Amino acid sequence: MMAGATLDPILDRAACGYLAVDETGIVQAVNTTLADLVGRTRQAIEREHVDQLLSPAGRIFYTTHLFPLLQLQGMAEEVYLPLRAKDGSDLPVLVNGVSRDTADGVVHDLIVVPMRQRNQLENELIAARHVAEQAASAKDRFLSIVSHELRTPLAAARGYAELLLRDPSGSMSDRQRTYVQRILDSTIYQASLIEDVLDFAGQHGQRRSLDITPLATEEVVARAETLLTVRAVEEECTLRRDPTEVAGSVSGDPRAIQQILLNLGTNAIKFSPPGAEVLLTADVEGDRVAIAVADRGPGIADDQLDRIFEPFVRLDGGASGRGRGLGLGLAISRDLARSMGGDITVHSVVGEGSRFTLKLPAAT
Amino acid sequence: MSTDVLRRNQVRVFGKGTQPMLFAHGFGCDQNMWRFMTPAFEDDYRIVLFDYVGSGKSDLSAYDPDRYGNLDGYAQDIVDIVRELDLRDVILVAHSVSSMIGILAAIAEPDRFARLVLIGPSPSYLNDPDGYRGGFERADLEGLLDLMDKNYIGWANTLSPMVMKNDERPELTRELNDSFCSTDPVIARQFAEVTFFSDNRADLAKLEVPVLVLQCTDDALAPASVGAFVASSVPRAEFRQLAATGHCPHMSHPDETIAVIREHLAAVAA
Repeated sequence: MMAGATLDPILDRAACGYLAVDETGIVQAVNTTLADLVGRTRQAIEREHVDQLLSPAGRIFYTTHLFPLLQLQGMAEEVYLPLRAKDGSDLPVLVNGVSRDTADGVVHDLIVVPMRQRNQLENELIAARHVAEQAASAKDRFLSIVSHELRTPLAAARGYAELLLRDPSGSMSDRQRTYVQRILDSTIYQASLIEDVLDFAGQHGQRRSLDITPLATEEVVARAETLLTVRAVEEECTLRRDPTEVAGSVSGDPRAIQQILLNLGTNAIKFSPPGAEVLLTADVEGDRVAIAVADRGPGIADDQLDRIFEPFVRLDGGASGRGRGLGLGLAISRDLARSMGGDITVHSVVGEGSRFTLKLPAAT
Repeated sequence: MSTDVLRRNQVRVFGKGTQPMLFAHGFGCDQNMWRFMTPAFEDDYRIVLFDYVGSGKSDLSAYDPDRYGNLDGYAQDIVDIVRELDLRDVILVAHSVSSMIGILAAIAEPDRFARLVLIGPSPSYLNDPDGYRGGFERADLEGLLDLMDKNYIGWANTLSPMVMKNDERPELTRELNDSFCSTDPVIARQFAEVTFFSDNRADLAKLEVPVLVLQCTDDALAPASVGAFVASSVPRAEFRQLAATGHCPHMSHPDETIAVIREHLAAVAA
């Protein structure tokens, strides 16, 4: 197509702009719709450089991104560009383009759709995202600082409680001993909550580095079983494995996997009525390994299921009223699972129980 | 460091010659931008291509916002590569922002570089009240960063599906490459900031290695006065005006670009 050629009337008045640009940036054709948008005539645009239609930022982006894409890849889609109208105002548009070989070299055919309102909305979205990101990082920083500050006096309290309990002179009464033991238990529990907060803030601030290696699935599950059995006994539950052996390997960070399974298992035990059974299973599902913990607890209502992975969301007590904690365990666990290329899913029926499944890539 | 550098920067080495010709891509692209040029030189030179960390198929996990927060970090990529391959007598062909990156690398390791071929160089894109005309006002360049943010929304996502679509349209598979321009959007934005807000005018005089400046006609990014500024500020520089228009003559006018570089290399060899 040569500059100045007559355009098909449908194309000329189409509901989008059309622009043909050669490899040197010279406009070979433009339709009336686009000419009207930028307040010029077709004649004033054709045979001129495409730069005259672009804002300065648009020129840089055209040169460094859109042109190379069209030249080397033959097409580009949904590229945002600000055009510059004759009156100096910027006109936000979306551009799709394909390149075409002609007798005179390559021509890039561009379709141009104005997006004034969407642009406004996108600006607001981007601004809102920046604000949200800043708020989130300020929150993580705050959590991290506060937690570190809390940890130091707590360590002192714990240390002195331990010293007192030794009671070398044997002068403490049983009652005093019970009280000190409670102080010690509370400081230990509080320290674990602080570790959770630090873990959570740490994951969001500076990503904890994971050491992803192939691990025998059986070893992973057996280790979790050992740790959880102790807790199950404490809470008067039974932990059962089925099947009792699992083949194959899983890919992940050993410490992170144990942390996740311990969290899922502890929750299951916590929410189980006394004497109930908690089931630990492991299966290979295609290229994934699924390790699940199922309980016979109260279950989770559908409208709560989406929220339980959000930080600081806690569900009500469970049968034994032991729903204490910060509500960070599942948020941390899911973040960890995802950063290992896996995920955590949940299936729950109110009144029957819940099953949390950790899915991880199988090791090849 | 060892082979990690080669993997990190997706270094490719080929060609039948012995003298290394190292090609450094510009902002927004990767080593694929040289595909029209390298066939003309691979019989006579040892061609070395790479992607900066954060671009193309480089190892994105090696991206450190502090290191790549200025052009020195990018120059260190070049230095790492020439050291790793123990390259000497290097002809560095650099496009756009890579011109300044290459100059910084050659100032750091002058003994390894024979000469630099700079395509569309600019030591500073901002107009300076002192009279230097980089071509852009601060607001223009901030507009570019907004524009990059805007294109984030779909940038990373639209590029890979595009390739699949091309597979169904054989007429468009010409020069297709699945990684082209598929940089991480956050990294691309920081690269834009570093590229367009750096001022390396003071470094030009420190360069001992001889330079060929290729200046395009009607370059939207690097006006002719900027190319002339580079040529007059670098102690040993030759200035060549190309008939080619635009900012990417190695993609739009490879024949002329190749001819001028060959002629120059032949002249200095004689």
